[in-house]
Amino acid sequence: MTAIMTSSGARPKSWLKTDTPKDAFQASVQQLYQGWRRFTIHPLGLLGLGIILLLIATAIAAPWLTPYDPAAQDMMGRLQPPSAAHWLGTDEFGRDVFTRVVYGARTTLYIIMLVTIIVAPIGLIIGACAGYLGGWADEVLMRVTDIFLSFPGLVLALGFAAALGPGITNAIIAIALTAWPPMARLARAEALSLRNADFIAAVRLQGASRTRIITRHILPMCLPSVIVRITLNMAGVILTAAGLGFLGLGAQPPMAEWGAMVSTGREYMLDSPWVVAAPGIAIAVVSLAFNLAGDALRDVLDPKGGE
Amino acid sequence: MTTYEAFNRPQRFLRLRQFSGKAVSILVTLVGLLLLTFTMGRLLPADPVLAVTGSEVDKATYERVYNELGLGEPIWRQFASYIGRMLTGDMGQSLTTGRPVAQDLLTVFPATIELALVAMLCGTLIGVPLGIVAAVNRGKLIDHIARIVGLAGHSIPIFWLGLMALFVFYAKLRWVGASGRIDILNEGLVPPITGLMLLDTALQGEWDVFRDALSHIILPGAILGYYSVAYISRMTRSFMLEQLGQEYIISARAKGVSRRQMIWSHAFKNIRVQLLTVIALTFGGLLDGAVLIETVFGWPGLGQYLTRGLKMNDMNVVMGAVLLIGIVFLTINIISDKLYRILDPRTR
Amino acid sequence: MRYRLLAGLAAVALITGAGGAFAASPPNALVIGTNLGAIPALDPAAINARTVSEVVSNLYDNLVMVNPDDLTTIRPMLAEKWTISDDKRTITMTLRKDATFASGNPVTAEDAAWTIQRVIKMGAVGSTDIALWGFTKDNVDSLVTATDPQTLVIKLPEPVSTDLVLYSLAGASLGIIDKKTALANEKNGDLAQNWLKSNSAGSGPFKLTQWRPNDILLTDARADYWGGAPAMKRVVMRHVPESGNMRLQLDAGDIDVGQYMASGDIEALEAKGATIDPGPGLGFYYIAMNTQDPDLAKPKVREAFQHILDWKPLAATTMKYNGFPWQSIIPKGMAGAPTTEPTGHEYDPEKAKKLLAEAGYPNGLKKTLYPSSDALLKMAVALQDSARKAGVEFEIVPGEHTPDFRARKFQVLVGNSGTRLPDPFGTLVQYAYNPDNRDEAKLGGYYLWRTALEAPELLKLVDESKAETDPEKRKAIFQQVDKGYQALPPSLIITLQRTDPYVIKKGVTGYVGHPTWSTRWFDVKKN
Repeated sequence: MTAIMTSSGARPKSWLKTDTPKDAFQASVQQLYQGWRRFTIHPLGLLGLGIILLLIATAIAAPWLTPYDPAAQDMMGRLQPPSAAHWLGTDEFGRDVFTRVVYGARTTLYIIMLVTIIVAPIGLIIGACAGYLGGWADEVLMRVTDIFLSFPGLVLALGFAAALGPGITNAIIAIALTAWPPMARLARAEALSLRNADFIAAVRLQGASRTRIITRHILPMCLPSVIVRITLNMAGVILTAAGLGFLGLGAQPPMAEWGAMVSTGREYMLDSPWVVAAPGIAIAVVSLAFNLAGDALRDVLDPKGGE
Repeated sequence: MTTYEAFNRPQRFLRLRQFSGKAVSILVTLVGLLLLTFTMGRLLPADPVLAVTGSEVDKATYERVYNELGLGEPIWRQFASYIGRMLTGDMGQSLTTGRPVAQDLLTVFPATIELALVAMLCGTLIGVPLGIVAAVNRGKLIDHIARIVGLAGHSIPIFWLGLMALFVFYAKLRWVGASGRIDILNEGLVPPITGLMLLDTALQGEWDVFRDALSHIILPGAILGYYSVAYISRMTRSFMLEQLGQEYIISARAKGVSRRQMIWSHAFKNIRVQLLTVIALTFGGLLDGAVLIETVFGWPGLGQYLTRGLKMNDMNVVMGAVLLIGIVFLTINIISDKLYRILDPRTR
Repeated sequence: MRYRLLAGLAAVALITGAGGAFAASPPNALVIGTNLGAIPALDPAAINARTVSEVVSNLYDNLVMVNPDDLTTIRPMLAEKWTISDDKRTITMTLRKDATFASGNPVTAEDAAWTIQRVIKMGAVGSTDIALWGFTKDNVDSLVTATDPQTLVIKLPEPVSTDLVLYSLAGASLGIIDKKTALANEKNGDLAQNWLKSNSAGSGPFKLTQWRPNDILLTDARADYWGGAPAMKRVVMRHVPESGNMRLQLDAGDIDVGQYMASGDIEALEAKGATIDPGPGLGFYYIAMNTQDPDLAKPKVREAFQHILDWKPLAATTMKYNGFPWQSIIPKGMAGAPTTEPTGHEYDPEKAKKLLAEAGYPNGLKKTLYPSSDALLKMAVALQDSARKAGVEFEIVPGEHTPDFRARKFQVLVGNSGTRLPDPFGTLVQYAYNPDNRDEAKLGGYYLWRTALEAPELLKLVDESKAETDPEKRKAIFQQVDKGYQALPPSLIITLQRTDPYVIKKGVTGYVGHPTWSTRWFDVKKN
């Protein structure tokens, strides 16, 4: 992504706007640029993007944003309401809620990144192979995808999280196992449409191997739509992670994870609502941001569905 | 087979072949589903023998239970006999309670179905008008607000919303019942027919119990329904936009048809079919939310049954519940797919 | 169309709003809010947990019983009277004639003998106590016999204090089962194990009407109960896993008794006038260390661990209702228990560091920490933070780890214990008794075995106390065991004695939490 950005910066603007792109790369960069132009007219999408950037900044800057250690307990100062010393109050162990929400951003980002890293390649490769190769391979791969798709995400994740044991990494694997099928479907559809495209046929005639065609030509073309889909799915991932945390199958203590914070804090909700309010709102805002950004992205890529 | 031959086959045969292909693929998916649940059951960390006996027992007892559970057999044979048992509808017994899993599922599943149906109704009642309002006021502030309201339902953690709602509507306002499906006073008054409490009480004319059941289901149902509002309203909006941009609407408008009549009698009428499939599709997603909302509201449904099985490492319960959810999910997907193909003129 | 929608919404609001007249729980029914997820099955011989013991104690009668407020007196129940032979090896019980099972069958000595034989033969957790007296699958048929319908003879295979034997007969697992009904539902000689998991066949004042796991457990009073019909016609246990939800329902009067509630919620209800039964128990909260781990095998390390938990603030806050500071393995107030609060396990990170350095760990050490169940997670998190300051890093693995603990598959674990023998022997045999330390022995019932620590002297003393009947001598032995235990240094560090609070609505009387979990509903009244 960054590579594309910098290289595009080095080229004249006309390179972005010409009606006759010279290669697939220029075409996809152009597409992205046009997309960005269309994206910027969505105020809500921009808001979502802003929040996501804020999340990233918070996660990076966490230690400088708060003087407290997210795990440091102070049993005598537990369940204190918000004050100047503790902006969002303290939790049942006297830990600073603001600090934990801020560090929780790191956990959330960690989950999002790892899920993306796992899901994108799996989905892309399976989808691209199925779509491009067709026939027998398509049948098998799509059956596998269908099987995974025939479970609601949380139920499947629950099963795997329980089987793999506790811990954030296992939870991420469980979520990833449930998140790849839609990507694969999408990539397959893209690959299917590319399969008979002229430039692919040309490459094929040049004698390129199947592997080469898939990795060099099919995969890059599937990437943009998969990225959009992942953005939209992130809200779901965050909520699934929070759901797992709520059911006690997510992060291990003392790691600050928003879902687990709501789960353990619910015991104190009636008297100390800030303990669940803060992480609950954080989950809602961040997943809303991904939804808004993803929604805008979808409008950009699929103008028919939106404005 | 060459392309030429295929073209010459009679149309009917092609259909049959398509149909059998579809049937085979569904069958394969089902076997895969079984394999997945089987793997999940076997991966559970605890010793299923201990789940039966409650603690370590002497070697002879351990072995007896071990063999009773068929754990000594090679894994492929275990899987084969698992499929065999599933075909006869025998899901085994709960390792902890000793009750047949199939029988348990018969009581917990209707509870979840009822909850999801009410949720679907709530989601539709809120989502469809919201989508229409957004479409009619496209691009205006009200459109953005509608989008935020919808998306919020998809973004707020459902367990959190559930807790907050309980606090307000049960604790403060006393409008609704707190947990379970009906009040203890009414427990056992109405013999189950369908297992759907609202339907059973209505069929038997027990309106007091009906009201009680309604007061218990309305809050979890509405919250669960809110979750699906985003999707329903969004789809309604885009369907509506498509209709509103059609020639006939524009010409109707020119002929002086009133705005309201135009929206409801013309545009909405045309999107009803599409909406139906969209709403059917949300049903599967609601099963997911049900797992969480059932915990908050103590709703004795499939979700709680599953989480309890997971916590107690009750292999048969987990496998049974997950399989049922998978089958329901699969069925809904197939049906809504079919529905869409049949009802939507463009894909016919 | 739009108006129709609106009208529909309004109708829904109206109907539910009108349904707002919620009656509090009815005057002749008791509603207990609890966590039914904790109940796996209802077979007396296969249970050892709290909530299920309470249920079983009301569905089944025992031969004898002890009252919650007087644990030392053994009272008649199904056994009207009993005599003990001069050699103290035979107990002869005379059963009352008027008792019947819910099926209508009379309660006979044959049923009682079969019940005891069944518990031993099944060998499940319910047999833990009674198996201590030397009964085995092979000898139980000849030792426990019915000589006539009213007479039960129990011969003891080894010299044991008959009080202990009677105590074990008062436990929920020894609820007398209707042999005829049970055998009618037997399958492949399983002693009706499968059927009794979700059905009841007892002579108790209540009979099981319905049990839907994770939802509701309904029992109805038996008008023909030999002790008279109980005041409550119906007792309902309702699954309310959320403490906050339970609090709201207790506050509204929909629930009469609340179990498994969080301290904050209990505090709030107490302020509003609810009665809090502290529910004193005969168990402890402990930190268990597996001595098969080479680091934890070192006595100095175990000694250091005595000072890594900052339990005082814990006991004053989150666990305020779950326990009180106590550091002896003899429960407070029992024979041989310290008369003042025992000390020695104060939180002292510096001291712990010093001891660790002496043991060869100047840079501290790292271990995994298991909570025995979700309920213990809070204690684990507190331990993690306070131990960190003493140089001990814990990685917490949440989940249900009791099976791991029983199988010795753990490093460090926090858990809580309970016992159904209302005698110091009950806790000593848990904490200070390990007759066979081999892995193959599988003596998961004994905590000392679970932590793989051998203590031959303590073993001898505990065995000795089993047969001792002289109160003063028993007391002396108990004290000796307690002292010897602390000097080990032990692999289970006790900080709090366990209590299980019951929150009781104003106006409900007669509900008294039983320290051995046999809480009975017979005397409950409402006004």
